[in-house]
Amino acid sequence: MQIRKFKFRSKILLLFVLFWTVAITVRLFYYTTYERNYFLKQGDKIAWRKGIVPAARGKILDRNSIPLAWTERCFDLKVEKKAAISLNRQNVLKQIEAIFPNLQSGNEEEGVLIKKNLNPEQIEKIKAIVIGSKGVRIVPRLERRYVDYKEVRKYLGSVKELDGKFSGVSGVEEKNDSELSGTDSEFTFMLDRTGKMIQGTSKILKEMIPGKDVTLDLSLEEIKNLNGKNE
Amino acid sequence: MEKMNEEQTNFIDSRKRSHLFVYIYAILFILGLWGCLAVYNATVYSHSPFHFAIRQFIWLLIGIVVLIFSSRIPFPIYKKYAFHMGIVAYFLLVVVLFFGIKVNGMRGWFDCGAFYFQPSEIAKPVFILLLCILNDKSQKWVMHLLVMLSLTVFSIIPIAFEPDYGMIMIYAAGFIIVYFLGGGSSLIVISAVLLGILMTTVELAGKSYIMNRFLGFINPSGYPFDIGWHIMQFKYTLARGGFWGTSWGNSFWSNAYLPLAYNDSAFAALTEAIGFVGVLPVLLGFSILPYIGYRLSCKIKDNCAALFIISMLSLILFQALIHISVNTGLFPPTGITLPMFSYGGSSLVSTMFGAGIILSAASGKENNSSTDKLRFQNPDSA
Repeated sequence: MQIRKFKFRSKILLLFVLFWTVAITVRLFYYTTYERNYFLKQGDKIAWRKGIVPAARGKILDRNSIPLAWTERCFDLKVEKKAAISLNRQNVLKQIEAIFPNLQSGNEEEGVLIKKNLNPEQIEKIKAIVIGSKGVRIVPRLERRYVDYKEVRKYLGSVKELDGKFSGVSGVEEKNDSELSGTDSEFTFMLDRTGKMIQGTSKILKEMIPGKDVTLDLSLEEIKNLNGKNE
Repeated sequence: MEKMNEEQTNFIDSRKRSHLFVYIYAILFILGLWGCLAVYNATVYSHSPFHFAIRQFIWLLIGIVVLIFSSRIPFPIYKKYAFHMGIVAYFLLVVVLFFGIKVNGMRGWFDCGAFYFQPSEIAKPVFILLLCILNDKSQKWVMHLLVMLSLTVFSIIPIAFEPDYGMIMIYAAGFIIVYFLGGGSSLIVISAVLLGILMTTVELAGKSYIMNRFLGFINPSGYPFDIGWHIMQFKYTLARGGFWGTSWGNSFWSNAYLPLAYNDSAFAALTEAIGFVGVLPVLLGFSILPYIGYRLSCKIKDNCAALFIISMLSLILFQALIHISVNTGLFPPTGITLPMFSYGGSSLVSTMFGAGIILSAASGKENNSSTDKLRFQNPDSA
């Protein structure tokens, strides 16, 4: 091995390494400093999400503070049809049908079988199956409830629900909608690549203000009689 | 003032060398600790954040023992038993194809219960040593080329069956480095590089997952949620780091989005933690390795030792630069790890073993029976 050749070629190698290192350094600077903001924004679009926690809708009370309208949390059982084949293989569907013989079909597009309004005893029975199986879920939902008088319900009106948020469309519900609605809470959070929320990343942007209760000037009996007189 | 005689000079030199070796052991240990910290940082939000870091630390301790032990073996012993080591290494490369386990589609590891062992990593320094010995022995250029090329092809064959294309690239680079520095024909080197590119292209066309990696590299923003995902995540992770970094343990993006942050994407994960200012010394530290090799080589009498020192250091650098180039979007993903920083015991021990042989070669305990040794001049006096 000739010394001169060795030294010359070593210098060529060192020069090659130098150019490569410079190229990497420039590239690194580009991403970490020069165009950093652009790539940060691109990344934020993937990762950060805004969430809304709807404010609890206020109650409607009569003059004697008897609740006429209120919001309740209900639980539904959802079984995805897409997961039906694997659930069948594991005999999970049979176990579910043994507990709930008449599962309804839900929205055809979603392909979901549902059992609405589970009571605590039913939740206990199905909990073990839900924990162990993909495609079986207990989904919470809010529902607006009214006293069981047709005349009163007509007077109180109704609400429509959109993304867990109620808004009044007729009657007392509509007239006092802003008072009953309250202010939703807004928060941001980061998702990981599997779509799960990363603990410790949520930040509250707006605190929730629950809806106020509305007390009517009339009593329950007066409201019942009110509709009768109008007719 | 009397001039010191040769014996006194040699004694002082050997004392200086001993101190230097202790510094080098310490530097490599600290570098390895930094690597453990990098692994922890990349997995801090996982279900067991210390799992990988503790294992890496154990491998580091093993690596340090290997380093100290291998650096104390005189280099002539390595030369004498290189062929035997080569046989053992090759045997392991073949056996792993039958008894190894498959990880990510590659059958390249032995499952030893508590740990995995990758023979192609450990065989790397032995391969380079054999190339340097063959370079030293062959005189005619045809034999020089044929013998070295045959060893390279022979070594690559079992790796190709795993298949580990990243490792094939490293072995091929090792051949080119040794052949080039050892005085081989430049034309052959250029032809080898072009042939390598041609064969890679043919391979790309044949394997859809490699073609996908290449397409994702060419236009990552065109397929941001698909084949370009990994490349885009590199960019987002580097941007997260910025100039100063997010600090150790705050690497959200590496943990949440960056695939294989403790391994194939170690450099990007490191950048998120310590920023541009933190990783620049790492990059420069790797880049200075061949220069150190060059300076050491110029002081060594033994051709083979000199060539091994600069070649092995250059190969470590090559591996590091490929990894960093992938992480900065200059190269398509290859699966090549960052020496000392990526999680992997075999890679760490292999690097330490290579460093040990380098120290042994640099210690100056030459084989005085070598017939074609030449004395290198000190570059400062040239």
